[in-house]
Amino acid sequence: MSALPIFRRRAHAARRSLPAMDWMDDVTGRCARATAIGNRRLLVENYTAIIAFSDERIRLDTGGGALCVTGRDLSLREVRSGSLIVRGEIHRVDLPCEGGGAPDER
Amino acid sequence: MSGKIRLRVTCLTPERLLRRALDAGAVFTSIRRADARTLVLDTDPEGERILRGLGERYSIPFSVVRRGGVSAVAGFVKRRATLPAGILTAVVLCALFLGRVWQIDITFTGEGAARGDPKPLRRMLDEMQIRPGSPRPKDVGLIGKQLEAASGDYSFVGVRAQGVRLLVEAIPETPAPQIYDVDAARDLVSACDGIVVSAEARSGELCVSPGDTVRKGQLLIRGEEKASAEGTRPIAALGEVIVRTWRCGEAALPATKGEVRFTGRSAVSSVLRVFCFEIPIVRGASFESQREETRALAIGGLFLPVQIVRRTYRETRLTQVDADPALLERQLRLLAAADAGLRLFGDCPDGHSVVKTWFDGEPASGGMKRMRAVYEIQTNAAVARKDAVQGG
Repeated sequence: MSALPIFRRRAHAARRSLPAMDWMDDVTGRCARATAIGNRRLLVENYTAIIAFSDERIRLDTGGGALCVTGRDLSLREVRSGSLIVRGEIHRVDLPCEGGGAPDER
Repeated sequence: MSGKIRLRVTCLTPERLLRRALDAGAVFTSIRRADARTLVLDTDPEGERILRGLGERYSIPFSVVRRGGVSAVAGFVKRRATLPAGILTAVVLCALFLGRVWQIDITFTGEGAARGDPKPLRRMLDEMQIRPGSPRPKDVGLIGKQLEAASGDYSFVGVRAQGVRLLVEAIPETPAPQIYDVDAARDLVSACDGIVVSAEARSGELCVSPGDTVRKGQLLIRGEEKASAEGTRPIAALGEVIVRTWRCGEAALPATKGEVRFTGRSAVSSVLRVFCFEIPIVRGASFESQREETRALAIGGLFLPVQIVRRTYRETRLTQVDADPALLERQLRLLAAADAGLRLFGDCPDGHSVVKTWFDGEPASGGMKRMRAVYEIQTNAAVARKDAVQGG
C-alpha cells in the first residue's frame, strides 16, 4: 500500500483549514474540471474513466467521485485520456461530492 | 497516416473496452451508443490498431463501417496501383495533344470576303511547316506578318491560337475601282433587246424609262451634261439599265423509231464442213432482210473435225413505231435547254440572272416532234458602244 491516501487526507485537511489554498488543486490538476458551454456542450477534464455511457446518462470517474451528466441524445466527442466533450441536450450535471465521498458504482 | 475510420464494436461492457483503449493511447473523435452493447466510434488508424489488438485479445468482434480521409485515399490508391501511372500517362498525352495545332481555320472578313480563297494561305502555312499536328507556334503574330508579307493579295492577316485551333483571319485587298476618264465622252447603249425594268444614271442623261422596249444598240444613257444655260459638254456616261429579255432554244426529234421485227418466214441450209471445206447438204432460200443463226454439230468425234453446220435464216422487216412519249419529251427538254443556254451565254452580257424558265411542246407534225425552251433573264444592258459592237 502506498502513502497516497494518507497524503490526500492531509491535503484535504489542510485545504479545509485553509480555504485560501483551494487554488492548489487547480494548479496541480488533480481535481476534475467541467466547463459547460450552453446546454449543448460540456468539456470534462481530468476524468479517469468512463463508468457508464448511454444516450441519456453519462457517468465519469474523476478520482474523487463520479461526475454524472443527464440529458438527451448524449454522445462523446474528442475522447482522449484525461479529457472529453459531452455533446447533446444536457439537463443536469452532478458533480462529485467534496472529499471524494461518492462511491464508485462500477 | 491520418484519416477518419468509423468502427462498430459489440461487447458486454463497452465502457471497459473504452477505458483500456484510452489507457493504451487511443483517441476517439466521436463515440455514440447504438444500443446497450454496441458502440459506434470514430477514430484514427492508430486507434483502430489499438482496438483491433484489444478485440483479438478479448475476442470482441468489431467491424469497420466506413473509411475516410487520407487513409481511404491511400487504400484506394493501393487497390488501384496502376492509377497513378494511368493518370501520369493521361497528363502527358493531354500535354502533347494540347501543345499542337490540330485545326487551322481560315476566315475572310471585309468587303472582299466572298472572293477570298483559303488555298494560297494554306499553302503558305504549309511551307512554314504549320499544318495540323505540328507544334503550336510560339509567336503567332509573327506568322501573321509573314503571311501578309508573302502575299500581296491581303491588306491584313491576323493569326490567333485558340487551344488546338489556329485561327487565321484575312482581309482580301480591295481592288481599285474602275476609273473613268470623265472627259472621255461615251454613251451607254443596249447590249440586247428587251424591256426596261429599272434605269439609273450616275452620270449623263437617261434616255429610257422602266417599261420601254429597247433594241440592241439603242441609246440608253447619253454622255453629256449641261455646261451652261445653253450648252452641254460631253462626258462619260455611267449607270445601270436592267432589262428583261428572253432567250429561246429549240429541239426536234422524230416522233417514231424504226424497230426490226420478224415476219415469221424462215429457211434452213446445211453444209458438211471438214476443216475449211464445205459440202452443201440442203440449200435454203435467202430473204432481202434476214437474221442468221448458225449451229455446228460435230459428228466425227474428237480427232476427226467433221461438222454439220446448220444455218437458219429468219426474215425481218423494219417497222416504224411510236417512240416512248415520256422519254422523247425528256430528250427534247434537254436538247432545247442546251440550245437556249448556248444562246444565253453567247448573246447576253455577264452578270445576268435567270428569272423564269419554261418549255413549250408542239404536236408532232411531219413525223417530227418539236420542243421550245425559253429563259427569261434580267441583266444590265447598258454597255459602251464599242462593247455592244463586240457582243456585250
